Amino acid sequence: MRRFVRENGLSLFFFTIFAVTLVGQSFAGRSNDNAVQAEHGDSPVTWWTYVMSTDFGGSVMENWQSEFLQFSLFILATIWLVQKGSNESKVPGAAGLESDEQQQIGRYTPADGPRWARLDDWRTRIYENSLLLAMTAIFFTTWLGQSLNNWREFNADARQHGDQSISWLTYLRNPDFWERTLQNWQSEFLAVGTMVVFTIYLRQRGSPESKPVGAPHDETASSG
Amino acid sequence: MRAVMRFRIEFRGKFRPVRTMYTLFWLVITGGVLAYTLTGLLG
Repeated sequence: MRRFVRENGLSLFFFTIFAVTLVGQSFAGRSNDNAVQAEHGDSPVTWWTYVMSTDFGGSVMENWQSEFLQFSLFILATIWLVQKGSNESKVPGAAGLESDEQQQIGRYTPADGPRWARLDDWRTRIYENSLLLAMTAIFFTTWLGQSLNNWREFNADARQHGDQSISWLTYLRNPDFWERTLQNWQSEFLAVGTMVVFTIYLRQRGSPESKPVGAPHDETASSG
Repeated sequence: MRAVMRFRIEFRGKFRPVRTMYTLFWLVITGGVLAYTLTGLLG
Protein backbone atom coordinates (compact mmCIF):
# COMPACT_ATOMS: atom_id res chain seq x y z
CA MET A 1 0.00 0.00 0.00
CA ARG A 2 2.80 2.40 0.96
CA ARG A 3 4.59 1.50 -2.24
CA PHE A 4 1.41 2.12 -4.23
CA VAL A 5 1.05 5.59 -2.70
CA ARG A 6 4.75 6.40 -3.22
CA GLU A 7 4.73 5.31 -6.85
CA ASN A 8 1.42 6.98 -7.70
CA GLY A 9 1.61 10.08 -5.52
CA LEU A 10 1.24 12.57 -8.36
CA SER A 11 -1.94 10.99 -9.75
CA LEU A 12 -3.37 10.40 -6.27
CA PHE A 13 -2.71 14.02 -5.29
CA PHE A 14 -4.48 15.43 -8.33
CA PHE A 15 -7.32 12.91 -8.10
CA THR A 16 -7.90 13.80 -4.45
CA ILE A 17 -7.90 17.57 -4.93
CA PHE A 18 -10.10 17.09 -8.01
CA ALA A 19 -12.67 15.14 -5.95
CA VAL A 20 -12.56 17.60 -3.04
CA THR A 21 -12.98 20.66 -5.25
CA LEU A 22 -15.77 19.03 -7.28
CA VAL A 23 -17.69 18.24 -4.10
CA GLY A 24 -16.96 21.77 -2.84
CA GLN A 25 -18.30 23.19 -6.11
CA SER A 26 -21.48 21.14 -5.73
CA PHE A 27 -22.17 22.47 -2.20
CA ALA A 28 -21.35 26.08 -3.08
CA GLY A 29 -23.38 25.82 -6.29
CA ARG A 30 -26.35 24.33 -4.47
CA SER A 31 -26.29 27.12 -1.86
CA ASN A 32 -26.16 29.73 -4.57
CA ASP A 33 -28.92 28.01 -6.55
CA ASN A 34 -31.15 27.72 -3.49
CA ALA A 35 -30.67 31.43 -2.71
CA VAL A 36 -31.92 32.24 -6.22
CA GLN A 37 -34.79 29.74 -5.78
CA ALA A 38 -35.80 31.49 -2.54
CA GLU A 39 -35.78 34.89 -4.27
CA HIS A 40 -38.26 33.48 -6.80
CA GLY A 41 -40.37 31.92 -4.02
CA ASP A 42 -39.40 28.37 -5.05
CA SER A 43 -38.52 25.57 -2.64
CA PRO A 44 -34.84 24.60 -2.16
CA VAL A 45 -33.41 21.59 -4.00
CA THR A 46 -31.57 18.65 -2.40
CA TRP A 47 -27.85 18.20 -2.93
CA TRP A 48 -28.40 15.19 -5.21
CA THR A 49 -31.02 17.03 -7.28
CA TYR A 50 -28.55 19.87 -7.75
CA VAL A 51 -25.69 17.52 -8.65
CA MET A 52 -27.86 15.96 -11.37
CA SER A 53 -29.09 19.34 -12.61
CA THR A 54 -28.26 21.01 -15.91
CA ASP A 55 -26.88 23.98 -13.94
CA PHE A 56 -24.18 21.88 -12.25
CA GLY A 57 -23.64 19.63 -15.29
CA GLY A 58 -23.14 22.64 -17.55
CA SER A 59 -20.61 24.21 -15.17
CA VAL A 60 -18.61 20.99 -14.85
CA MET A 61 -18.58 20.20 -18.57
CA GLU A 62 -17.75 23.81 -19.43
CA ASN A 63 -14.53 23.64 -17.44
CA TRP A 64 -13.61 20.09 -18.43
CA GLN A 65 -13.87 20.77 -22.16
CA SER A 66 -11.51 23.73 -22.01
CA GLU A 67 -8.89 21.77 -20.07
CA PHE A 68 -8.95 18.90 -22.55
CA LEU A 69 -8.86 21.32 -25.48
CA GLN A 70 -5.82 22.97 -23.90
CA PHE A 71 -3.91 19.72 -23.64
CA SER A 72 -5.04 18.49 -27.09
CA LEU A 73 -3.76 21.68 -28.69
CA PHE A 74 -0.59 21.61 -26.63
CA ILE A 75 0.17 18.03 -27.71
CA LEU A 76 -0.58 18.87 -31.36
CA ALA A 77 1.17 22.25 -31.53
CA THR A 78 4.37 20.99 -29.90
CA ILE A 79 4.84 18.45 -32.70
CA TRP A 80 5.33 21.19 -35.27
CA LEU A 81 6.05 24.43 -33.42
CA VAL A 82 9.04 25.21 -31.21
CA GLN A 83 9.94 27.94 -28.75
CA LYS A 84 13.66 28.43 -28.37
CA GLY A 85 14.72 28.30 -24.73
CA SER A 86 11.44 26.80 -23.46
CA ASN A 87 11.27 23.65 -21.37
CA GLU A 88 7.88 22.90 -22.98
CA SER A 89 9.29 22.74 -26.50
CA LYS A 90 11.45 20.44 -28.59
CA VAL A 91 14.75 21.84 -29.76
CA PRO A 92 14.62 23.97 -32.92
CA GLY A 93 15.18 21.67 -35.89
CA ALA A 94 13.40 18.71 -34.28
CA ALA A 95 9.93 19.85 -35.37
CA GLY A 96 7.77 17.19 -36.96
CA LEU A 97 6.85 13.56 -36.36
CA GLU A 98 10.51 12.40 -36.04
CA SER A 99 12.02 9.16 -37.39
CA ASP A 100 10.95 5.63 -36.44
CA GLU A 101 14.30 5.23 -34.68
CA GLN A 102 13.75 8.33 -32.53
CA GLN A 103 10.20 7.22 -31.77
CA GLN A 104 11.22 3.57 -31.15
CA ILE A 105 8.79 2.22 -33.72
CA GLY A 106 8.93 -1.18 -35.50
CA ARG A 107 12.37 -2.80 -35.25
CA TYR A 108 13.51 0.02 -32.96
CA THR A 109 10.98 -0.89 -30.25
CA PRO A 110 12.73 -2.32 -27.17
CA ALA A 111 11.80 -5.83 -26.03
CA ASP A 112 9.67 -4.48 -23.17
CA GLY A 113 8.11 -1.74 -25.32
CA PRO A 114 4.42 -1.69 -26.32
CA ARG A 115 3.52 -4.37 -28.85
CA TRP A 116 1.46 -1.95 -30.94
CA ALA A 117 4.59 0.19 -31.41
CA ARG A 118 6.57 -2.83 -32.67
CA LEU A 119 3.96 -4.05 -35.18
CA ASP A 120 4.44 -1.08 -37.53
CA ASP A 121 1.02 -1.47 -39.17
CA TRP A 122 -2.42 0.17 -38.74
CA ARG A 123 -2.29 -0.55 -34.99
CA THR A 124 0.91 1.46 -34.69
CA ARG A 125 -0.72 4.34 -36.60
CA ILE A 126 -3.49 4.38 -33.97
CA TYR A 127 -1.16 3.89 -31.02
CA GLU A 128 1.29 6.60 -32.10
CA ASN A 129 -1.59 9.10 -31.96
CA SER A 130 -3.50 7.58 -29.03
CA LEU A 131 -2.78 10.39 -26.54
CA LEU A 132 -4.01 13.09 -28.89
CA LEU A 133 -6.99 10.96 -29.99
CA ALA A 134 -8.07 10.33 -26.40
CA MET A 135 -7.71 13.96 -25.28
CA THR A 136 -9.49 15.26 -28.39
CA ALA A 137 -12.34 12.75 -28.00
CA ILE A 138 -12.80 13.83 -24.37
CA PHE A 139 -12.76 17.49 -25.45
CA PHE A 140 -15.49 17.01 -28.05
CA THR A 141 -17.72 14.88 -25.80
CA THR A 142 -17.42 17.31 -22.87
CA TRP A 143 -18.07 20.25 -25.20
CA LEU A 144 -21.18 18.44 -26.42
CA GLY A 145 -22.18 17.88 -22.78
CA GLN A 146 -21.67 21.57 -22.02
CA SER A 147 -23.78 22.63 -25.01
CA LEU A 148 -26.68 20.32 -24.07
CA ASN A 149 -26.76 21.38 -20.41
CA ASN A 150 -26.34 25.09 -21.18
CA TRP A 151 -29.07 24.81 -23.81
CA ARG A 152 -31.50 23.32 -21.27
CA GLU A 153 -30.60 26.06 -18.80
CA PHE A 154 -31.02 28.74 -21.46
CA ASN A 155 -34.49 27.44 -22.36
CA ALA A 156 -35.55 27.11 -18.70
CA ASP A 157 -34.52 30.73 -18.15
CA ALA A 158 -36.32 31.82 -21.33
CA ARG A 159 -39.53 30.08 -20.23
CA GLN A 160 -39.36 31.76 -16.80
CA HIS A 161 -39.24 35.11 -18.56
CA GLY A 162 -42.07 34.19 -20.92
CA ASP A 163 -39.76 33.81 -23.95
CA GLN A 164 -39.76 31.00 -26.52
CA SER A 165 -37.52 27.95 -26.26
CA ILE A 166 -34.93 27.45 -28.99
CA SER A 167 -33.55 24.28 -30.60
CA TRP A 168 -30.12 22.90 -29.69
CA LEU A 169 -28.76 23.79 -33.14
CA THR A 170 -29.99 27.36 -32.75
CA TYR A 171 -28.40 27.51 -29.30
CA LEU A 172 -25.03 26.54 -30.84
CA ARG A 173 -25.12 29.87 -32.70
CA ASN A 174 -26.24 31.81 -29.61
CA PRO A 175 -23.84 34.31 -27.96
CA ASP A 176 -24.59 32.70 -24.56
CA PHE A 177 -22.93 29.45 -25.69
CA TRP A 178 -19.93 31.18 -27.22
CA GLU A 179 -19.44 33.55 -24.28
CA ARG A 180 -19.30 30.55 -21.91
CA THR A 181 -17.01 28.64 -24.29
CA LEU A 182 -14.57 31.40 -25.15
CA GLN A 183 -14.20 32.68 -21.59
CA ASN A 184 -12.83 29.24 -20.70
CA TRP A 185 -10.66 28.85 -23.78
CA GLN A 186 -8.91 32.21 -23.46
CA SER A 187 -7.73 31.46 -19.92
CA GLU A 188 -6.35 28.06 -20.93
CA PHE A 189 -4.47 29.48 -23.90
CA LEU A 190 -2.97 32.23 -21.75
CA ALA A 191 -1.87 29.71 -19.11
CA VAL A 192 -0.22 27.40 -21.68
CA GLY A 193 1.46 30.29 -23.46
CA THR A 194 2.73 31.57 -20.13
CA MET A 195 4.24 28.17 -19.29
CA VAL A 196 5.95 28.07 -22.70
CA VAL A 197 7.46 31.53 -22.24
CA PHE A 198 8.11 31.62 -18.48
CA THR A 199 10.13 28.38 -18.53
CA ILE A 200 12.70 30.15 -20.72
CA TYR A 201 13.83 32.45 -17.88
CA LEU A 202 12.22 31.19 -14.66
CA ARG A 203 13.09 27.99 -12.76
CA GLN A 204 11.69 25.67 -10.11
CA ARG A 205 14.34 23.51 -8.56
CA GLY A 206 13.36 19.83 -8.64
CA SER A 207 10.41 20.13 -11.00
CA PRO A 208 10.42 18.37 -14.40
CA GLU A 209 8.24 21.25 -15.58
CA SER A 210 11.30 23.50 -15.29
CA LYS A 211 14.76 23.47 -16.78
CA PRO A 212 17.52 22.79 -14.24
CA VAL A 213 18.22 25.95 -12.22
CA GLY A 214 21.60 26.52 -13.85
CA ALA A 215 20.55 25.72 -17.42
CA PRO A 216 21.24 28.55 -19.89
CA HIS A 217 18.24 30.64 -20.96
CA ASP A 218 18.75 29.74 -24.62
CA GLU A 219 18.84 26.00 -23.90
CA THR A 220 15.62 24.34 -25.10
CA ALA A 221 13.89 21.33 -23.48
CA SER A 222 16.76 20.63 -21.10
CA SER A 223 14.64 18.67 -18.61
CA GLY A 224 13.78 16.28 -21.44
CA MET B 1 -11.17 -7.51 -32.39
CA ARG B 2 -8.56 -10.20 -31.71
CA ALA B 3 -5.83 -7.57 -31.92
CA VAL B 4 -7.63 -5.36 -29.41
CA MET B 5 -8.02 -8.30 -27.00
CA ARG B 6 -4.36 -9.22 -27.32
CA PHE B 7 -3.42 -5.61 -26.61
CA ARG B 8 -5.60 -5.62 -23.50
CA ILE B 9 -4.12 -8.90 -22.26
CA GLU B 10 -0.58 -7.62 -22.76
CA PHE B 11 -1.42 -4.31 -21.08
CA ARG B 12 -2.99 -6.08 -18.13
CA GLY B 13 0.12 -8.18 -17.58
CA LYS B 14 2.34 -5.33 -16.46
CA PHE B 15 2.21 -2.36 -14.19
CA ARG B 16 -0.89 -3.38 -12.25
CA PRO B 17 -1.00 -0.49 -9.71
CA VAL B 18 -0.28 2.09 -12.38
CA ARG B 19 -3.03 0.56 -14.54
CA THR B 20 -5.37 1.07 -11.57
CA MET B 21 -4.69 4.82 -11.61
CA TYR B 22 -5.08 4.92 -15.38
CA THR B 23 -8.41 3.09 -15.14
CA LEU B 24 -9.59 5.34 -12.31
CA PHE B 25 -9.08 8.49 -14.38
CA TRP B 26 -10.85 6.93 -17.38
CA LEU B 27 -13.77 5.89 -15.15
CA VAL B 28 -14.16 9.37 -13.69
CA ILE B 29 -14.02 11.05 -17.09
CA THR B 30 -16.34 8.54 -18.76
CA GLY B 31 -18.76 8.65 -15.81
CA GLY B 32 -18.84 12.45 -15.79
CA VAL B 33 -19.30 12.72 -19.52
CA LEU B 34 -22.06 10.08 -19.58
CA ALA B 35 -23.90 11.53 -16.57
CA TYR B 36 -23.88 15.09 -17.86
CA THR B 37 -24.64 14.16 -21.45
CA LEU B 38 -27.73 12.42 -20.08
CA THR B 39 -28.78 15.41 -17.94
CA GLY B 40 -28.38 17.57 -21.04
CA LEU B 41 -30.32 15.18 -23.26
CA LEU B 42 -33.11 14.47 -20.80
CA GLY B 43 -33.30 17.98 -19.37
